[in-house]
Amino acid sequence: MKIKTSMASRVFDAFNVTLMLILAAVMLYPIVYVASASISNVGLVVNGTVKLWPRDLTFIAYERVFADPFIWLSYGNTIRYTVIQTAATLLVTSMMAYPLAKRRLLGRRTILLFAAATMLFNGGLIPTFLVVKQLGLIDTIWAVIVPTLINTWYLFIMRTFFEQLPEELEEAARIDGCGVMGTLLRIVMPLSKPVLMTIGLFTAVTQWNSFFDALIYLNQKELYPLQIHLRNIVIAGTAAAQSQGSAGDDEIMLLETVKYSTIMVAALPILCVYPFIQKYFVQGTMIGGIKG
Amino acid sequence: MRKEHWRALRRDQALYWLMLPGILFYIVFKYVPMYGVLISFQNYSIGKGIWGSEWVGFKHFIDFFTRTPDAWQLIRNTLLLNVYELLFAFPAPILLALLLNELRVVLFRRFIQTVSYLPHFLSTVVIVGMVVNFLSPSSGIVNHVLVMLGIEPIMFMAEPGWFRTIYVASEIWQTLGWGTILYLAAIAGVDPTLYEAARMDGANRFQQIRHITFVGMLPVVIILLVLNLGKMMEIGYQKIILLYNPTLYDTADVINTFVYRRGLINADFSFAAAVGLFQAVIGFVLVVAANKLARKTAHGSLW
Amino acid sequence: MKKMKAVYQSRTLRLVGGVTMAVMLAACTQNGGGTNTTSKEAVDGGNSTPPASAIEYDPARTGGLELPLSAEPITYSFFIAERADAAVSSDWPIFRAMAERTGVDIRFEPAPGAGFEEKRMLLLATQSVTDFFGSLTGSLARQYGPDGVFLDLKPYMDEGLMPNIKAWYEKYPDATVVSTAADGGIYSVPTFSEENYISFSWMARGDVMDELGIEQPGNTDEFYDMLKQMKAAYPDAYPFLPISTAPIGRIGLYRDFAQMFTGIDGMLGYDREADEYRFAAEDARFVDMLTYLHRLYEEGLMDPEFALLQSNQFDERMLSGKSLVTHHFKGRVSQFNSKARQADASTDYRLVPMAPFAAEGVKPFQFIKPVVFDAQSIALAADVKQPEIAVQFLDYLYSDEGTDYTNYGIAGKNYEVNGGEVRYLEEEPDLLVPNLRKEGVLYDSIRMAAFDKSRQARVLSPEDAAIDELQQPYIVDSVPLMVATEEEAELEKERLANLTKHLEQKLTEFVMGKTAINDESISQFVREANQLGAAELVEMYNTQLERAGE
Repeated sequence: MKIKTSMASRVFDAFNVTLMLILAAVMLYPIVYVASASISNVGLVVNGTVKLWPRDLTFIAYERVFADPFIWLSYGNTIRYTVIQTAATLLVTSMMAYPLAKRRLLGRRTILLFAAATMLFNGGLIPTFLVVKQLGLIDTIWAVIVPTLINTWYLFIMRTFFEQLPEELEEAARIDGCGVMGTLLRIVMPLSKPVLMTIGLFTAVTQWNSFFDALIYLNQKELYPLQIHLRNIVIAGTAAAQSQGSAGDDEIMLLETVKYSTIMVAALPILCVYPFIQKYFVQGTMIGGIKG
Repeated sequence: MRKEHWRALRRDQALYWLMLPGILFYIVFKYVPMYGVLISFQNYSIGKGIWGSEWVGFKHFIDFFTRTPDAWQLIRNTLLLNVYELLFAFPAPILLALLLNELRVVLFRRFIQTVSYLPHFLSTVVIVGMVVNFLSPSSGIVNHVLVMLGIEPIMFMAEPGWFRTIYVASEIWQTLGWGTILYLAAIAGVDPTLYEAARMDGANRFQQIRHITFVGMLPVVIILLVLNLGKMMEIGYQKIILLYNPTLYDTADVINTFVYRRGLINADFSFAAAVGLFQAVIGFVLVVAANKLARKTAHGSLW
Repeated sequence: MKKMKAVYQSRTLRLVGGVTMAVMLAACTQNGGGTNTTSKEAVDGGNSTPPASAIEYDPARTGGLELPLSAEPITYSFFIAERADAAVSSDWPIFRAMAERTGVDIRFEPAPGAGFEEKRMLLLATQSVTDFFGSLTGSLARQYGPDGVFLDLKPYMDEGLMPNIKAWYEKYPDATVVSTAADGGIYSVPTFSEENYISFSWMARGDVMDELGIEQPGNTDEFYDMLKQMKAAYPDAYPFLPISTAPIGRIGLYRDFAQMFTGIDGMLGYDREADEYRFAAEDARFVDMLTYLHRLYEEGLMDPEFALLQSNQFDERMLSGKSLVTHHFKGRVSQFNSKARQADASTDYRLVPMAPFAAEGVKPFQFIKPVVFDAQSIALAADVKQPEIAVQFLDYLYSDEGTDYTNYGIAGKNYEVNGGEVRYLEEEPDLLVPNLRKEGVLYDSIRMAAFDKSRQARVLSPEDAAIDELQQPYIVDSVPLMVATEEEAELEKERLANLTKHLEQKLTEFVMGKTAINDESISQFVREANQLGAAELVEMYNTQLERAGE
């Protein structure tokens, strides 16, 4: 049976599509500019000749980035940290969010309140650092992963999603002899793909871009993730950098276009993750389970 | 009463075990360091540590209000920026998610969605640089358009009145696409049979959007709203420092930029901690109040 | 149901498997990294340090230090800020060479320039400093030294274990002032830079000046005429563009013009004629300065967005010809010229330096960078292992031999000595310093003592040499070095940043015409500034000045 589309509906569609195209142009501009600048002649970039498309192609900016002996090592570090943190976070957060989604749980509100309070009140950088130091985590990969293992926002979001799962599923699982952990892993999580993918993506991106934690908890250069390396380059020469008295009078002499190639190198891989998981954001994923 | 509690605990004990790693995390990494809050009431000195530094009670809090030039202006600026964000930057991704969901051609929708979050990945430094460029009275594109429309060029970055708009607009530019991801996930969780039922009841497209899609997103919207309210008293200084200049201090200077200048780097820990505590308390009160309100409307709340 | 169960089981397995693999991967790489470090140390320990008798050294060049400093190889950690244009490496040739000669190996723990200050603060606050702690400021060392974070070097200096540093301190007594803490201990050693080093320069488009027949301005009126002529020929350009609007500091629009009209080093600074600190707004000529700047703005001689620009826009305007004159780091002259050539090899673009100038009746001058530069100091951790060896290595960096390494590099590779004169082997003057830095030479906090100018033949670009020559007649000694007590530091911390911000805002409003320039508005400006602490700070600085004079 074909559904008749009303006039209003078609106008809406047209308007929607137009709006989206304008939006796309606005959103695309920065990255197109950055990409173009990264392969253009530095003189033409700095004097403003390059506005959208590259001019006078050159790959020297990329050569400089990859000439750094540490780049591959730090890339590897970032990938390691991101993968491990995402897996760990998803596991531990869902293990905590799932029980909290059950309204009958005693002490639920108290625990939620305690978690929410940590978003506003926090002891500060120094005490947290000291705790990490006393646990012996400084200068190890765990210092970058464990202190940020659970993000309270994500905890609440996950809990909200879990709350919407129908009780019958878990009944069925219990009847089949599944323990609580089993229910979580085999029933709840597969049905919560959209939220898991989302939180997983957010965690991965945050960790990929994270700079501050690595800065303060890691000392050895061999453990540094990508961002530590690259942030320096990207802000070089800006007001943010000039406020540091330490550099003295010898200004950083950098090829400006290296800033742009650095951004591209740092962002490209993680940019590509989302399109791959988009297919999980299909309607009805959460409901599929019942029919079985 | 007690006996019921014990029974409940025993019945759900597996659930409690499940939460154990998470709870341990909160205790070790969030609550143990809480003693740091105490330095707000001290003149913290590194050498003496927390237990040896002298106690000064509420001195820093009072100092903030009395010895800061224009403390109220800072608070006002912080609040106003947050209000603007709440009014414009918060609903924007919701709207976009709804619109995206209505695009019929799946490939086009995925393309637009991917493209929309690209600015999120570019560092703030680059985005701010572009914003300032666009708004330049002599070479910026915005003024070019204005001139074409017969309007005098406006020096946007020199008018304190424009700052909030510019700030929020650049926030939207950077976070719009990324913010839709969560809402799209929520939309994906809506039972498709609801749409069927509504159509058979004669609901048109717009009614479906309002009563099904949007309602499906509501729980997530509400908790995000409540959480955002907790941040009303603070706004990060990094972006503002990049954006502001001497002509904009009247509207751009916020609590955090003041604290940053005053000495976050200069080890004025106590002062920074005191201000942070003040912001947190206000935020907490707001969250509790908002949560109470949210529970009454019954679509979802924090706890 | 059974089928679903099987499916879920396999998915769970995959998940668990994935996590396990990731964890194992992490563990493996971790071990791999660890093994590498230990094997490196083993290699160094085994092969690179020859027995004591085999090292030849000239006591005159080591200041009397006996090499090797340590019979057993020893490694120290070294905290340092990493430059964006030159990555730090523990394998730098000069450090390998120094390790061979002294037996001391350095393992760098660099923090990137971005966020470096936070890390430094955290390490200090949690007493987690590395053995050698570089990129430190004298004031931080004076503050934290007595708290037990740093090693007191004075006993070692007195014992004769640090002859080179002692000699530098005797030559430049300011160093003692700047590194002695309230309890009498010396906790850090500053950098000793070249003498007569000029950091900044006025610069203008020489090609445009030639074209219009303009001569170098000798005072502010001539400067105004120059800008007017440029504007007439290029109406779309805004000839003058300052790089910042800082009222206080080493460079900035308000700071520069305050000096030009009142002789005071910035809005709140040292007045050489009066030998005291003053607030420029209270000077009779302050109104002249405001009027002058306002005129420049009104007549389009100064870029109307001068207060708004970001650094990339600044560069753009200088290079595209939208701006023609500025005051900046002197290195910019050659940098801009080379960038312009890169964009268009046949361009006429030519920035030339201009001599300092001032208003009628005011003597123009240029400060030199102080030799004792304590913003780059090194300190040793209070609990450093084998302190006698550590202090000697620190001293080695200040010896002739050490200075050769950190200023010139490796003999035969980076430089050669020709009849007593040192000559760098790098061909391209533009690439000399950047390439040296990549090898750790001339690196902040590593090069602690500058080469003796009489020996060096540093390849200066023709532009740099021209600048130095031009500025020579105007050089004056830098502002006397002063040290603040704890209370004074507190006061400054509380007031200075907000006062600066306020001054910047109000001065910009004057210049842009948002506030009228008349006696009343100026009095109000002074009143507000004093409320924010201007008078207090001036008094405080004068007290410090008096103390320094004793």
